[in-house]
Amino acid sequence: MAVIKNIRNAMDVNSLFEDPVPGSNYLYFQSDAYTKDTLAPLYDIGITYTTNGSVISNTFGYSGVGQTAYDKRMSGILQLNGETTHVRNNLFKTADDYRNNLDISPFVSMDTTYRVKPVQYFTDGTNNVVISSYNYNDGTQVNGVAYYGTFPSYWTKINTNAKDLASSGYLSNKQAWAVGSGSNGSGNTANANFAERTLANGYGGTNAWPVYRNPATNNLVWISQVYYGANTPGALIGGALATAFSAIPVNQATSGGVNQNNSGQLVGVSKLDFNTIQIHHAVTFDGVNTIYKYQDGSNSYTTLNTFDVTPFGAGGGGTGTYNLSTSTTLAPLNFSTASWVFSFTATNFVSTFTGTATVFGSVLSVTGVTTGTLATGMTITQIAVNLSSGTTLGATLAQGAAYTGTVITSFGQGTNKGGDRGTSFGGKIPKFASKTFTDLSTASTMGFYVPYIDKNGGFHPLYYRWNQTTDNFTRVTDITMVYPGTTFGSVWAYDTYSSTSVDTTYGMQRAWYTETFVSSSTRYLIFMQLHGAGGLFDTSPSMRTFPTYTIDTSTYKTLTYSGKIEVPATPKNIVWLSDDRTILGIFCHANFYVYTFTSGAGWTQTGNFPFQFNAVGRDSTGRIWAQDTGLGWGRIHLLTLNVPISIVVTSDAASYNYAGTTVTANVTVNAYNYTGSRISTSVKLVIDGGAMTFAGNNLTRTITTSASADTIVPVTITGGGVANIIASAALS
Amino acid sequence: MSFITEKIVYPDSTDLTITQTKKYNSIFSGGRLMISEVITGEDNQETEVLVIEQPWKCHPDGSRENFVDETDAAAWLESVKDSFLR
Repeated sequence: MAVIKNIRNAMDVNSLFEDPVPGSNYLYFQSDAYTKDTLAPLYDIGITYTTNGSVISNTFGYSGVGQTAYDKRMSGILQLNGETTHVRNNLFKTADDYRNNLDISPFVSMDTTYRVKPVQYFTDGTNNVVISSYNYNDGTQVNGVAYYGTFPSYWTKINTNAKDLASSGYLSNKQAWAVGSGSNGSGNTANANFAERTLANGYGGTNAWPVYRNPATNNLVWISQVYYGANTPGALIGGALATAFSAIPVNQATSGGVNQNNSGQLVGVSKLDFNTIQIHHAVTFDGVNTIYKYQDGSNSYTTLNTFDVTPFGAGGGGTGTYNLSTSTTLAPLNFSTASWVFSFTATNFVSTFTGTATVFGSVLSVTGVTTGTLATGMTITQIAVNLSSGTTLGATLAQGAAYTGTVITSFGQGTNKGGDRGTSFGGKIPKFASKTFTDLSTASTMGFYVPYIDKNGGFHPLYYRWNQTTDNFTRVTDITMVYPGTTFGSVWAYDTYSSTSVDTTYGMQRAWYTETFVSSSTRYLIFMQLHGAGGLFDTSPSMRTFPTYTIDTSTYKTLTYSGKIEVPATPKNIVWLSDDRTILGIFCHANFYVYTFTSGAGWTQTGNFPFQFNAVGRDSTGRIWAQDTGLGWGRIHLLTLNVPISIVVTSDAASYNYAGTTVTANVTVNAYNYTGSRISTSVKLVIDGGAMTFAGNNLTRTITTSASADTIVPVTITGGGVANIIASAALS
Repeated sequence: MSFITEKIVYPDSTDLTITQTKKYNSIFSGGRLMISEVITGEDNQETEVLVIEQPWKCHPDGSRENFVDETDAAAWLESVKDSFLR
């Protein structure tokens, strides 16, 4: 790792800006140009932001990191043409504060084709536009003036070229913190708010990023989520920049299109009509999802599917043991008719029971029409017979609880208990689904997983299928989880330090996030619990553990535990450092950790940077940039593949027998980068102790390691005792 | 043919005594429900903003069902307006 630059002046421009125009070789530290490939300074070349030369209060970005007070200018530090995450570090170990709210950049797009990047280049083949966007997040106000501190800020440059930003300059700044009023914005777009709750209400508040050009309309569609006072988060159904390739683009968002207390994501783009599809996750109930299609051409939307019932327990034809003693309301029982016959009998009931059992669709509903309890000796027996195998499964309901208004939830063949966990197991919390992937079991279908904790506290991600020939979504709930112990709790614990996240200014201080990735042809799922406060889980290892599962891709319904990341400290947020999501960067309060996944070893920590990073991201060449506070207004770091993260020195024997005659031996030296790959680099070796020397009786030696093989270094044992070899790498 | 649907909303979630009535004008055509929000300006002039183009009924279990006719569409919208209309 190398410190590239200290930021000496906090200004309203980015610390680092990457020109995204194809062919451009410019990178800007604040406004000074450098070559993108070699980082060579360019004499008298820089970006000119405004016609009067002033960047004060123009919100082009932010090149200070707010050493003391909270700064709402979140996400304006590293403006890279690659995935970047910003993190606030104003507080430590203090829950329930708006300053903990998370940057949702890592999860808000589920489509890897349309990644969230701070700066992007779009073209329709004739015209082009560069858009650099970031977000102000104040988060404190709850009344109509909230937009004064919470709004997106972005600038555009129309029909630019590879050298334009460094020569002609003069960007078009677009911002507004007063909906419908241009008086408070310096740009010519008064309403830059893509997540306004309604114009009639006159307020908004948003995080927004442009991600997709609709070829049918030539609009640029944005992903947006509200960070508005007590309504944090709220999910936007749709927003776009119309006439985007003109000097005066028009912002639009669906009227009243924000779902309060929902987290939202872009699912992808319809193959039927090129419109975008969004999913909203209710913070208030796990498993309650609504899926929308946004028609940006007419600025309207269609509700594709609603999943407004709590997930059933696993079914699929089996039955299991039912526990009425902990149930409270009557609900359907899962039932599959494809290859099973299901029968229901109730015996030994007192005469007051006149319940009925009916089959509706794939669901068997058991309904008691009178109030009563199952007395001792009363049973409800359910038998399921597999028509192909003849296997018979049966279950007897326990006695002792009210049966009218009682939930009867099938354990079924899966392990999901179903139901709504209410405020148990962590309270109400924003959720984010995995990125979509091709479902290998069903033609023309994409799949993804949504976080869900069942009423028994078990992690059973809900599996959604997206039929791309109809844009119809279906949900699978009969998930079988194979935990390392008997329960999910053996590896994971829910957050017990935070208040519930409904109608609060700090509603985005934490999140549950599932993600999948492929390694050696096997798809894996990882589950993360993030908290922006930092520190809270430091003494609770299970809360900072990311369990990982292999996915049976024949059905996508069986997930088997394969390992975990026990993050050394509370994970505040993450950034993916490789497109295949096998390299994960994790922000903690005082450290930034890098983990690399291989199918053989699972997750392995391959980097530990003892810095409090405020932002980490990749540029278009794949280099990893970071900024920490440092001693001034921040330091820009470059993490490159050829910087050693670990150096491993191994002797060819655990001990040597010195009998008065020198012994020749070898040590093996390897250096590894943050991906875990062996690299060639200069390593200095120092022998500590008087019993061993390098060649020529030297106690120090500098070698160059190999990227392809072990590097062997001869040593000579010259006496008895203990000798250590200290290895270090010179960093520039 | 069109029909009007009204819905009471609470613009400030921290004060549920404050209510607002939102008005929607819906047209059923070609099996599709086109729902526009009716916005009254300061000059008391009403303008309609297209909000939703809905070709089917959405059920809570995730399933869809085509509209039978306008009556069916109107009845469905009335039954789900509190959750469906934003």
